[in-house]
Amino acid sequence: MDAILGAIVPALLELLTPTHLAMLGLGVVFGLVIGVLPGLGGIAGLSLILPFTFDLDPSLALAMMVGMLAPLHTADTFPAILMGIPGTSSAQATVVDGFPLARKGEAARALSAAFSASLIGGLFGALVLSVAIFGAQSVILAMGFGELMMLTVFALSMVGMLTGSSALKGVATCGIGVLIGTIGGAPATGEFRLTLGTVYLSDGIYLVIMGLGLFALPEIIELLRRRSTISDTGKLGSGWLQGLRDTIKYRWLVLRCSALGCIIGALPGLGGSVADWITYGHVVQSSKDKSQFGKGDIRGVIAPEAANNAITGGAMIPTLLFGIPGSGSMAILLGGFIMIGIQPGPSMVSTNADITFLIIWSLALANVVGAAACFMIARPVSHLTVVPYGLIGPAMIVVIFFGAFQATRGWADFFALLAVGLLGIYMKRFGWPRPALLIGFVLSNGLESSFYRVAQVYGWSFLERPIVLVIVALTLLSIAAAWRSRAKVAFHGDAAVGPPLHLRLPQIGFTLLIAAFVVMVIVEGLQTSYLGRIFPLTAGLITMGLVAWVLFNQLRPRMTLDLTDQEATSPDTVHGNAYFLTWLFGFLGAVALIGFPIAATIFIFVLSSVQTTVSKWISAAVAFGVFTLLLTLSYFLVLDYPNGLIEEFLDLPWWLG
Amino acid sequence: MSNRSLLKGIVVAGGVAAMSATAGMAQDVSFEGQRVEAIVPFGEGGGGDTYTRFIVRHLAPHLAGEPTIVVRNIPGGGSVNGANWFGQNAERDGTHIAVASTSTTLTYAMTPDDDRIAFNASDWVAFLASPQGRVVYVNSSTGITSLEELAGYEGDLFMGIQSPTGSDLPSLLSLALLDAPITPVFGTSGGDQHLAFERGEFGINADVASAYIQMAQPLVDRGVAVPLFAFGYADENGNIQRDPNFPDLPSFVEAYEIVHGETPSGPGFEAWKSMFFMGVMASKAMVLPDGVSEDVVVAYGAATEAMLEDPEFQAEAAAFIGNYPQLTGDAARESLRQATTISDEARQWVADWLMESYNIEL
Repeated sequence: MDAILGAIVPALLELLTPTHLAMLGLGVVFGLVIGVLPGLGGIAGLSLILPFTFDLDPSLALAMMVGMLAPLHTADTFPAILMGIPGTSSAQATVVDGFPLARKGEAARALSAAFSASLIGGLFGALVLSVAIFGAQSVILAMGFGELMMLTVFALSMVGMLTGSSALKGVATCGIGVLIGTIGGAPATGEFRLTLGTVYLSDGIYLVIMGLGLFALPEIIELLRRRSTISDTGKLGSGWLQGLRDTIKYRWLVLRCSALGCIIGALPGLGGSVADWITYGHVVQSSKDKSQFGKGDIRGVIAPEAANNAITGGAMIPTLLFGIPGSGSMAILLGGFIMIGIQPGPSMVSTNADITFLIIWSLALANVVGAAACFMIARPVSHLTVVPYGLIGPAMIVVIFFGAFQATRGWADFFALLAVGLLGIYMKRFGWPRPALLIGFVLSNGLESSFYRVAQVYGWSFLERPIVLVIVALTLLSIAAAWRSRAKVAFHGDAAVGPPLHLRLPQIGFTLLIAAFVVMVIVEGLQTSYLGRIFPLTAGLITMGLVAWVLFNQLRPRMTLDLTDQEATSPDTVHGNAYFLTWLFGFLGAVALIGFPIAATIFIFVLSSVQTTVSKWISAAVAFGVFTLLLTLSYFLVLDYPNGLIEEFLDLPWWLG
Repeated sequence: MSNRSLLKGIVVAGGVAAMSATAGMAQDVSFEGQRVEAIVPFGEGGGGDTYTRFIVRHLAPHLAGEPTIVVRNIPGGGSVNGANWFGQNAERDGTHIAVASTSTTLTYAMTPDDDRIAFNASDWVAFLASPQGRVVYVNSSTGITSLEELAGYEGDLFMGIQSPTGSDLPSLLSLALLDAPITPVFGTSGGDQHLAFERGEFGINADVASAYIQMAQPLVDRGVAVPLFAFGYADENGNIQRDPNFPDLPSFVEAYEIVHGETPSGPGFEAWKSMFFMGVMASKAMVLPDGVSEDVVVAYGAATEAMLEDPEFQAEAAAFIGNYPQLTGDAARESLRQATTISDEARQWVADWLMESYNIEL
């Protein structure tokens, strides 16, 4: 043990040499750029820098790789708060309160709180890694199938906190998320469910597309309709110190959420994309005044940001100890370890402890450097929120199409994004909570396969395991808390009468469409084998009951919380959703004709010229900037954008489509 | 067997022809200033991706004209998406290569009627085939120490299987032929298999050699795991010998003899042999598309030979491809051909067995 502890200081001294610092810094710059771009995360970042690491000394390569991973979840906060676009999948929960804060003109405060919480989360993650890695082996091995299944159920119970005003709709939405998650190969039999005969759907819908479609696309279209700036006040706010004060004020929340993030990252099976939602659920649950969540509560930013930076430290634990990656980016990091000659395993805490400490120090230092860099560029970047949105929106549409394209790098990604975006737009309009859908979706697969495993290996005897019982108790507490905190709104007098039937027809129609999807899942489920259908059928029947209940409430003449139609309450816009959806279809048509980069450039120029009164030259400059960005990314990521018909007549270079 | 000796003749003759051709013709093709794309039909970070990145990095300097080789990942559909892309869009001039691994060959050979498949893997021209052994081991808590005890085991013997129709199928089939009374737990990925095995929830597991050495060997050293057999390795005659990396472990054929007292035969064994080529002998292969010109094939063949001789390559190879002899030229093509073909009778046998044992459709 002395020999191991003796490795701490030399590892730090090694990292503090100029070459190591330079490599770490390079990694951090990479990480910041990758984090800001939606659709690109740790996987893309690592595969970009892997080729450079081959010829490096292993410790230099490590500093660079870890340096890239550490600031990802600090940088992904920029688009989440400023644009409502999750920069990586772990920033989805940040959008829920971060973006409303930017709309209220408090972007500066939100960013500064997020970065400081991120910094603490990241440092905490590194600290936990350095202590826990010596005892984590037995803890990870104590978490069997039963424990992992109950953890998934516990995570699912957080949905109770993410339901919005109507609890019934929230739980129904979660069920729909679970059903969407069953699309693709059945874990137990490999049968394809609801794939409509396509290769694309056989892997299910990709998380990046769900995130961008549900959150980013609806927000962009709403902002375009308003023809204003992101900040409603047109001001930035001078909240830098306020944000720091927020983090200090909620210091225990920051530490709790960092710890949660670390644990979730370290446990195989749950995955980092759940951590931000679990901590978001936690902060809502543990707060007395819940009225501002979803409308711009700073705690809703602090909690997921503290967690998502701590994940990286936690996720390193199984990667280093067992050689088993807990996430996609850890898988490629593991590949990188092997390429530079590091064999993960128990030796990482004995003979190779020096490497482990080098990783830990790199993680800590990269978090500090990354957060500092974000603070420095935050002020100029947040000016985007006071620029007319007609100028930014079209470019953002192209950027999220680019992000969605990273899923499989094919045309189908565009269609999937449009389909999910359409769902998101109407869920938003009719008050179906999108976070609830996402948490159901993310947990669906894990729930199904862990359910089979427990049934096969343990049967009911899994309830005899003590850790399972602890998690069961936590889950019951979480559900009870959700039950107690649900909004008790009673309608009296005139308010008790709902809008007339013809005004309700749009939302009733949407509910019917959802019901049709559920029926489709059930009918399709009947055609698969027993093991392939038991889960979607069970979830489908429960969801059907909930949706039918919503429908019943919507049909009755009384006013209920299940009735929401934003169009009916805020019609003060020039164009409707359909107008902008037509633009999107037009864009895809143009891509089919002239290829993605050129079509994107023209789309940005034309739409921003129509939407704003600023000089055509500025629109052209924005369009050209995005064009350059697309080509640069295409070159370095070896992306082949969709070709247009023009390719048939002109021999364009590959990076131009 | 006459087929096999004929085959051997072709392999030897082909090898000689390829070598003599190398000297004269390799100069004809040059990739100078060109960019070669290596298609990986998986996402970044998996086994197929790591393998391809390793190979192309060492291959590029030996190819005529020293082109840049970049990796392009086209994930989706358990490799069907990327393989379809390669089958339909690959340039036939040597600027597109791809990796074919067990999931690709297995899907292609076992489900020929699947209309999602729009590629023809048996026509691809392999210029390198990298065998990768497989080892089956049990948890010492089961008390099993030998193959006989495995076949006669009473009690639950759980085994994690990713997908009944995926790359774990060869392991599942091997154990069925050995009458091992296992209960497969489907939908369990590789990482989860190892953790559950170490926790004692699963009693038996199978690994490809590289994963075995990295993750299971430490357990064997600690007395937690007991290796029972390795699949084996095919010699030039197509006979299954012991795996050169695990000379102390019986091959599958020996294991079968130990359990049943006779040499394996029949459609079940025919199916096993096909899967042995899919899972072991052509576990991973680098390929050119069909219809590529002979000059290009020769250029890639020469570059591959040179790469295998390169001391830099050899120094790093163990971590990525294990210490297996690499197949090149006609031997590589033959290995891929074997891995992409299975007789209708053997395929039907597998389909019936999966349906009967697990109620699963191939």
